[in-house]
Amino acid sequence: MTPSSASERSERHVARIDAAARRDLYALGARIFAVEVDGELLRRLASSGLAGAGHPDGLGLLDDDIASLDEHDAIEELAAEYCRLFIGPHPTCPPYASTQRGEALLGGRAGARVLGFLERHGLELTGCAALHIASPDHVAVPLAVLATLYAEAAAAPDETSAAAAWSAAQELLVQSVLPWMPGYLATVASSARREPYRSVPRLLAALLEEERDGLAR
Amino acid sequence: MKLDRRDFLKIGMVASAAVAAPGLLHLVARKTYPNRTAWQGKTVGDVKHIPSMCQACTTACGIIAHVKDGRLLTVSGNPADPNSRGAICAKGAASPSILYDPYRVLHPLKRVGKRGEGKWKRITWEEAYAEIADKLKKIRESGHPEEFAFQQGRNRSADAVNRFLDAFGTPSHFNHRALCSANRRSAILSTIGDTDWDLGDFENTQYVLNFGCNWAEAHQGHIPIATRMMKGRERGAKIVTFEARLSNTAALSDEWFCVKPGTDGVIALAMAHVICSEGLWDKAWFDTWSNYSADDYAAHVAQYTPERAAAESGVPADAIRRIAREFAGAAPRSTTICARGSHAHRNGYYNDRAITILNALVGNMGYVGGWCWHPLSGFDKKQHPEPEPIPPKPTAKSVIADAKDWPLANAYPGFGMKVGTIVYLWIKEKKQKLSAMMTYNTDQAWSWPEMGLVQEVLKDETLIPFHFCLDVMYSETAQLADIILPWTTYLERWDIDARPSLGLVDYVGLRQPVVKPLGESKDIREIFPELARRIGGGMEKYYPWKTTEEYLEAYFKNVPGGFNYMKKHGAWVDPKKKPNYVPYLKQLSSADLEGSTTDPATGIITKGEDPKTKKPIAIGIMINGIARVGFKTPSRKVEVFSKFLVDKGQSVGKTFSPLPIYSPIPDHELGLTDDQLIMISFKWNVHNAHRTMQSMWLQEIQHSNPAWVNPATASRLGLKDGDWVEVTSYRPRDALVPHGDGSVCGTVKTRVRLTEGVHPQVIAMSHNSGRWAGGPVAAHADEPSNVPGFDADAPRPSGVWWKNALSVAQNNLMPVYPDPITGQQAYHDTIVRLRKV
Repeated sequence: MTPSSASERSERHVARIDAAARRDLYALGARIFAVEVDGELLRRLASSGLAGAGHPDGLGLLDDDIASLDEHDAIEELAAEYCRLFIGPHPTCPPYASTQRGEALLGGRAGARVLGFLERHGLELTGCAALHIASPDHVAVPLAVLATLYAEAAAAPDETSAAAAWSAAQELLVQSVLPWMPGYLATVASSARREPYRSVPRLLAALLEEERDGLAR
Repeated sequence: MKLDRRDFLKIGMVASAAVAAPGLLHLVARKTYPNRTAWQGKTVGDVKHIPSMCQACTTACGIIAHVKDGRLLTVSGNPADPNSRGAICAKGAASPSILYDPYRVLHPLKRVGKRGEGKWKRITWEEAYAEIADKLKKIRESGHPEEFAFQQGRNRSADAVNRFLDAFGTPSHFNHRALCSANRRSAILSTIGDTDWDLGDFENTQYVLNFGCNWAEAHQGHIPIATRMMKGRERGAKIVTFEARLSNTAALSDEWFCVKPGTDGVIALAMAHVICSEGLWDKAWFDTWSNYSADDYAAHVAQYTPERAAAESGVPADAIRRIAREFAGAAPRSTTICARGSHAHRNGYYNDRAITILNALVGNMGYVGGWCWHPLSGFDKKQHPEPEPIPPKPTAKSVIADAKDWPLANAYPGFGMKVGTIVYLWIKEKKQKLSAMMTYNTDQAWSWPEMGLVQEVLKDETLIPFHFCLDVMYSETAQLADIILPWTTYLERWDIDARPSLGLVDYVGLRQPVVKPLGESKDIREIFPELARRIGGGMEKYYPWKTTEEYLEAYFKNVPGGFNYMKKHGAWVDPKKKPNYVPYLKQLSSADLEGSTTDPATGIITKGEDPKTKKPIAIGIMINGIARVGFKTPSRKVEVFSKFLVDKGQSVGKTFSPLPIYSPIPDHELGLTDDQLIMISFKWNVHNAHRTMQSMWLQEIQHSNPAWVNPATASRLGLKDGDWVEVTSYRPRDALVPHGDGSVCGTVKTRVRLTEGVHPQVIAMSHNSGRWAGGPVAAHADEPSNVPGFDADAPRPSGVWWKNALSVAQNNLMPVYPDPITGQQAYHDTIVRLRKV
């Protein structure tokens, strides 16, 4: 094997960091969409340095008034917002691709597409039942898959493995994410009355825009 | 927002911190077994064909669910079901759209705002169980179990519901019987005694007289009846329908007569007069098998001439004569049908008595092709007894469930003849204290008469301090709950079930889960045992089974092959049982007669003594020297003369006629002004109460309810097709009806559809519309209306192309209007005033 040059090593290093950043953003998105904010996440959001409306980067993972509540009340308020947006009754932003893509049945073709992707790439859903996610086309699922693939890319032992993970992520993005999720994220961001349900969708939308640009390149 | 690499890295670090904790997210994993090449782009696995029973409506047809890889693909009919015989309706075929409704309630929810505010949070089942059990335990331990009320809608799990309520000790079990079939059931019971449900032998008949029954669209026995009715028609049967509206049933009939509402009884009595006066009767049968002589009945009906009936109903006298002759001429292969038509009136009990006795007059009762019945309204509970231990019936009393103001309500033990019509009025009037209510598979805040009153009561925490609701979808009632529990659909749960069999042989069926419950949905067969264990106090001992399957194994033990047979076939009919033709002719055996006594005056044969009443038990009647079973009435004959009704009436200070009579609707008798009409209600063939309205597939077929008005009426009122009108309804002017003072009941704005298919004195407004909280498909309308709580800005699914369709809640106009005899809601008698707006 030919020893790689310093520039190649540097590129790989940058790619790993890039993959890790994507991994973490998608994981955050999956977490936010999959289940309500709990005490642990609340504390982490509060201590992230990105809490508060006045953040210079325009990000605020937590509203000021929520941050000032005691933990029980803050969690309950965020749970009500999560419920209003994603659970219902009559959720403002049903979190399923099938619904967002106009299918009458939950799951439907969108769910089959996600399952097919997982099957082709040797992945399986392990946490849906525990989190009571009713169908694999739930927005948290492709985000979690992307987080997994970018985690593999970041930790890949060689170039080939890393490329396979990037390629799989691109396939998922093209098939099951970019056709609907940017619009959905925009809807959530505009419908949400509470952080992090405004900021995280905006972050994810920006990341998906970057992904789309990358695919075009 | 545009992110650069620096942003990614920075935010990624934060995100990493936010999600790094173990256990926060484990949605996806790399498979530990390789199969990357096995998948070829199509879902693998075989299609399973699982027999079960539908519950998209109330008919409980046998279905086969076609399931692949755990997902329901389609639903078709189960040919092994002896009632539906492989047929299903549009509602059954639309089952996937109910199961996979994207807006189903899939998690326990607890309100975090004011009741009715619509602010919820998801809670765990553990939290839900803990709170509900705590509340119920306190009620039970207070010594007033009746303060826990159970409001059911369509309940096909009667064993599970009764077990829980009886174990708890509450008699406050409210049903919707009076909003459905109380008059008809009472009329049949008090006339023949054997049953509360007639089953015309439509497949073998030659003539059907239909008094307003919409069997092609909305009957309790919909598919089993409709398919047999069409078979009969193929074999030459004639169907004549009297109805105020050109329904699909009327359209499928050979003749349709557009009648004035509330006049079915006088038509039937006039036909009786024709049959008697022209000697078309089976006089020998009537004199033998009824408790009133044919000559005396002829004298009674002589007042009801066809001309009088024509003046009342609008049906030409000549037509009444002709049809009476045809009906009698076809006997015994002739029959009547009338559910939810003739009986859903203020005079419905008398109407249905008159119609039932038409069958006695022509001697078709129990004969092939005639007016038939079966003593069982479901499966044979002696053959398939409920597994022990069974809790005793409650000793506590419920003023509302046991309402006494209506003499034939609650008059037949075990038949559930409760006056659901007045439940919320009486709660409001504090006739019974309630501390908690559970709502099960119903949406009384939308589907009950005077729905505004129901909403007011459900919202009032002083009247109902704790309200929890179990349903598949959100509803106007769930909106007024404190906790909403996600219920499994009929495709995800177990039941032992059967309906009155049109084949006249009882059967038993199994409803089984064809897919795993979606989300966190659960059925009462799982919920009630858990609540019982938590409430304790002896309740838990009635739930010794570890699983529902174990319980059903015990239930089906007398089916050859047991539970496994049922899971494989879905239904079982005992081959030894024969169709219930002419059961009254059955001769008593010598063993039956051993130790019996025959009353020389009446011929009634008795044997033994009722341990409760200490009265002799009648087992038959001597007819022409032969001991026969007879009818299950006190006289063992068809009770044309009902002393039972007279006595019951007197017990509450009311006088009723022992013979069927025409009792005009008081409001109608007073006459209508030019702008007044009679409002009638109807259901569509693709909908059933609130349960189907969130189905995208079904709503796409039927989603609007403009008011049907006759063009002649419209011309008089200056209305054009599609015009907006304001409809104001009035409570009846009727001293025998609660609040029967003629006051304004409600007002709605709607549009008119002009059609010759409705009586000129009628405005027909359908049910199945006007939702505002039932999910975005059910609550789709954007047109302005005065529906309370209507949110025109709420988002709608993208596929709802009909979102601007008119959809108005008729129950804003429907007064609480119980028939004075049974408490049956008079659905088709309300006076409304129409004004163009």
